[in-house]
Amino acid sequence: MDARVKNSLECIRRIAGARVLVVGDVMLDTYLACRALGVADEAPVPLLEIGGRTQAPGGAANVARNLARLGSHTTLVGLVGGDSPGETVRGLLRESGVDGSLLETHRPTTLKTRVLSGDHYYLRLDEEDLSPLTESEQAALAARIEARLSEADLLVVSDYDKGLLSPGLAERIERRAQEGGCRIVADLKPRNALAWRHLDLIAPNLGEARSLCAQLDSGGEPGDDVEAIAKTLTSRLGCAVVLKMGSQGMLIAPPSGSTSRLEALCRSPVEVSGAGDTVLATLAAALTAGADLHQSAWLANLAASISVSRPGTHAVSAAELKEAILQSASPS
Amino acid sequence: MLPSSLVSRFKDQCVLIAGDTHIDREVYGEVHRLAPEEPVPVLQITSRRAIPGGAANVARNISRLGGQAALYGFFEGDEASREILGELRAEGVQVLSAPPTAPFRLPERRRFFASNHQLIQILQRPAIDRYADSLTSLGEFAARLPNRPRTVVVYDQGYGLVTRALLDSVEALARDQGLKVVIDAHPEHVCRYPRADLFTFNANEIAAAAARLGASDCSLERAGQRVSERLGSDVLVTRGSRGMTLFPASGRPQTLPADPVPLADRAGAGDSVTAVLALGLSAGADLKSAAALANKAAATVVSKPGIATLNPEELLNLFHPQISSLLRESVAVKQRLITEQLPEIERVVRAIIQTYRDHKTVYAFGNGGSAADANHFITELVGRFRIERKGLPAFSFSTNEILMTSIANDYGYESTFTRQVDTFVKPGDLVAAFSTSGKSENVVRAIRLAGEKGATTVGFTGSSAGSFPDLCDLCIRVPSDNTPRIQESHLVVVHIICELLEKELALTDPREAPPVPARPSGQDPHGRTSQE
Repeated sequence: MDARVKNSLECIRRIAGARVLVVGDVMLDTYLACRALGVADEAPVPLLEIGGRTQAPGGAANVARNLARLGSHTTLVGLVGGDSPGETVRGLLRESGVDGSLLETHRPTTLKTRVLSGDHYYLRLDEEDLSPLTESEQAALAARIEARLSEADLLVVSDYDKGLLSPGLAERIERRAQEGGCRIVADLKPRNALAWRHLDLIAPNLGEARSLCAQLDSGGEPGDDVEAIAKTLTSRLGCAVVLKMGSQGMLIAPPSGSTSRLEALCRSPVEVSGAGDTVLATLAAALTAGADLHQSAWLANLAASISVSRPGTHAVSAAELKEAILQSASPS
Repeated sequence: MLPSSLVSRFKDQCVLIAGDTHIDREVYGEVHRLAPEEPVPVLQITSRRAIPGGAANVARNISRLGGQAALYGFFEGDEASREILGELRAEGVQVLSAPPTAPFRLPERRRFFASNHQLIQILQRPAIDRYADSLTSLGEFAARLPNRPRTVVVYDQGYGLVTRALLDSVEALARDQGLKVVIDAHPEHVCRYPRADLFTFNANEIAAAAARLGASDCSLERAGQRVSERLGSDVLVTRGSRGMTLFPASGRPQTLPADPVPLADRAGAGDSVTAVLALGLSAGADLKSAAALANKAAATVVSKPGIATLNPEELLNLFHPQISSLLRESVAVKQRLITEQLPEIERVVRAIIQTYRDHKTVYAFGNGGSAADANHFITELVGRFRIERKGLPAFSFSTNEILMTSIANDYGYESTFTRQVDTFVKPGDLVAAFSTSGKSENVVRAIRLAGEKGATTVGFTGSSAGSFPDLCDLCIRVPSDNTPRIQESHLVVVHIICELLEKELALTDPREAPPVPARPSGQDPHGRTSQE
């Protein structure tokens, strides 16, 4: 057994000892599996019939689910509405083994519904209320995060720009994390990213990275050189960057030093939604288990290849990842 | 009988509706981007609307058309059922729910719109598809209704409420109580229906029903005939923009073309058709008249966005479009009078009151229709308007044809009124001139002279007004160029003036207006005699 495989398996074992706090935008993902009946009688639009409905935790809740599947002791702080989707999210998190600390606010639970028929994806329906939180809601949220942060080895921030993470809250979280020596791994929407100054690792996709670069270079359009983009981000933000490039694999840029690449391992992805959450969760879990940046990224890349080869939003388990590690070593 | 005369009888009709109800959900949103995971539109939902669907929508249509609807359906404690029942109660529909035999969820049809563009429809069928075969309480429900229903509508979407037992109850109602039966049919059940007064299908459904009877891939004509033969009943097929075709149980099919209208949304139009047919048949119409009425109704409903209904007034307007449009035009002019002329009308009232307080006289004149308006005004003053009182001194220069023809003959037509103004009008009198254009030479000359003689001058004219605004102290300008619309409005203004000044004089000057004697009830409010 080569050293990398041994190290990686050891790393997966150690994940189970670590405590991770996830803070971010919680959603409920719904998949409507439909049968196409034909064209509607009164308008030339497709007429579908719902055959089945599956629901999964989405956004930060999916990151938390991924972490729990990998074996981390995972706590999630986020928002839901006092509605039945909120109850569904709580139930799904319980089933996944996530310690959900969800605050009920005046806003209904954020919903993403995908309408599918067989492999064909028709439409996505988004329902969200982006009105600002009240002062008492904000105070309750901050108190809850701070209380949980003191128990965590690592903080994962999963931001979908739904208004949870205000700049003020970001500053407060970072201060408390630094005091406790808690590292921060983040997926941030570009327009909120600059509120954070003490991150350890970010994992943007290429589009987000470009847009973030453009902001940092005060409007200058970044070129096609992905290494230059990654370098800009590491030097300006002072953190490591794992750049997710879909079928082009990943680019790994430490805060200083040279970049390296990992090739995408799955040639024919089935379902890419949720793969980003898997990458973020695996990076975070591996870091808590003592892996370095390159090893964490290697595991994340492997986990991504498993996630995209499964239908639906798939959370990769520790066992699946172990099996993939072993297979990666076997000559094929 | 005019089809429209049926409409006025809708309010006396009660229709019983039994069958499948669903909830129609319209979901509106905006599309600004494609999903990152796959290139499909992301519909950002902004609003939703829930509407009773199927049998409940027929009930809602009947209620909105002025009839009474009694709905026999299947509602359990689920959220959608509660929404529907709330909605129906608000519409005044009476509802009886059949007892469910298993956990139940009302079927749903969701329609998704980006702005007003429909993207997709998603159905959710009921959780169960078999209902109790003991739905025999329909007859009791019918007996309990305050108004005896004359028609029963069976609404079959294939969701399971239309069972053998239900159809037996319907047959019994038809046989024992003479109810007419209209069946909004489901193609797959074409073999199980009893005879009925009318079956309705849409174009897709009639093809499917004919296929079920072994006649697949045939023309709509053939399909309709085949189905109507088999059912032994009249069949009506709704055909969207092609109108509708009636297949009588015996006789030749007949197509009623659709009125060309801009299409907004066809959803729910079939339910409106069924509602009008049921009300029409209840009101005693023959099938063809009821169908003609329903065809017009469908054209109106499809020109409205969303799942729409219509009211009796809209239906009547369709049959008498010119009358309706002229009445609307007249109303519109009066509406503009409200926004533009209220202060001026008030000033005229004040001026006339002052004239009478000063013990002076009011004179009026005009040509033709305007002469009639002038005379009408004078009559209300010398006679009475609504309150018993002494006559007010007033005189029309347009009444005496002997005098007018004599002046015209000797001095020319332009002098017909100047001669009279010159003879009668004293300083402090009030002179009202009526001319829709403000340009009638004899009127213009006379009002100028009246001003010169120290009278208060009031013009009644239209929007063009001619030289009236310059010549008259006060000027009522009806905001229209259309002579009949202006004259009608002049009459309205005259009535308003008389009403106001009569009240004012009665309140402030008991000598002018003695106490009002009680008038026998039922008398014309003008208290007029037959010579008017």
